[in-house]
Amino acid sequence: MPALRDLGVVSLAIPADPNHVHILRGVAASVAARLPMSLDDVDDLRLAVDEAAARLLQLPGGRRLSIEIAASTDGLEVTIETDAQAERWPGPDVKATLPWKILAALGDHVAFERREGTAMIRFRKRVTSFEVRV
Amino acid sequence: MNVRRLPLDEVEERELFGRLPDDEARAELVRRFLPLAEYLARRFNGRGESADDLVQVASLGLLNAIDRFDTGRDVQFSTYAAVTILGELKRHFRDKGWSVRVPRRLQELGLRINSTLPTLYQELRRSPTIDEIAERVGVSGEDVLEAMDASQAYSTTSLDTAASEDGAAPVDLLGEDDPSIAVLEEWAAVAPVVRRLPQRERTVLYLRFFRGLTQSEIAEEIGVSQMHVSRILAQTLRAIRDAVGPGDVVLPDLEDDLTD
Repeated sequence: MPALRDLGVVSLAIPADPNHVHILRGVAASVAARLPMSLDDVDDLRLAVDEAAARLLQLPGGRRLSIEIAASTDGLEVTIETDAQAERWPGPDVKATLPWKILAALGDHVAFERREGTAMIRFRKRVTSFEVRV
Repeated sequence: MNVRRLPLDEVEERELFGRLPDDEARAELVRRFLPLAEYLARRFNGRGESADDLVQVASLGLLNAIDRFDTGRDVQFSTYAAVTILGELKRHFRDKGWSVRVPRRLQELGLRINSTLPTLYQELRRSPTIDEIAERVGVSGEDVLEAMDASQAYSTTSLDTAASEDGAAPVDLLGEDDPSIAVLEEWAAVAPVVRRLPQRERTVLYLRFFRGLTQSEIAEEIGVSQMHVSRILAQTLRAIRDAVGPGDVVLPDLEDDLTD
């Protein structure tokens, strides 16, 4: 295995509006395309960004939706974040909700978190394209 | 009422229609009239949709025709089916607004990529990377991404259209058992729309989220293009989201061993 190499961080913020989510999908796919990531993985990444963004947009009061993608030769670490009101989010049963299950199938290390004034969903997408599937 | 002599095929057809909603009778009707659907689908070639996708749409028209045909009327099924299938194909183009919104260059590139993918997949024995696709097709990686995006640019279907517009492929009807229904019940409990999804959509959900197959593997399994699988997943997840609405609903704890 070649040594892990850091390929930098791409970040972008958009208005918290479903009509702009495609921009985040596109950015994620563009960054992924720089890695030897398979088409399947790139498509999964798009679906995951869509799912995470949609979940965060449902929280009330958000004005901004941002994405941060940390790329390395190992894969991508994606954080999607909004400044919405989310006192009771995520609930204790979050792992049994549909968005979680969908994201867990599309990526690894899924985390739903709330910090001071922001709600975020994080996941990883590893480079798997060169493992030959039999 | 005058009794006219029916040719043998027509007699058999009536018998088959009489047995509906029997699955076998339905599958037999699909088998008999699939060539008609394929023939009509070919008339729409060159409008920016892959031949596979067109046949899928035409097959849906055929299924609708089978379900709606009234044997009491003095119309031959083939006539009725042709009208229904053509209607479905036309509606497909109109609803998707495909030829309007997506520039011709991207439509064509999308088709070229789509037709390259199976070969690449066979050669590499894995899903190709964007760069590999770009190299094979002879364009830049950016172009590939743009075309992939465009192929997803179908209007987002609403819940009801997701359930009624995009029907099951004939191949699904012929399948013997469908484990997806039991397994997806977990999801259906919080998103009843899952129960109303067409068979093919349910199968794709099941294979991706419960069996963990990749999009390319699903494409091979159900006999459509990878891009089509990608589109089905995006639209179905969207339909489910719209149906569930805001807020997290906790899934019921069903038997986990169903999923393995």
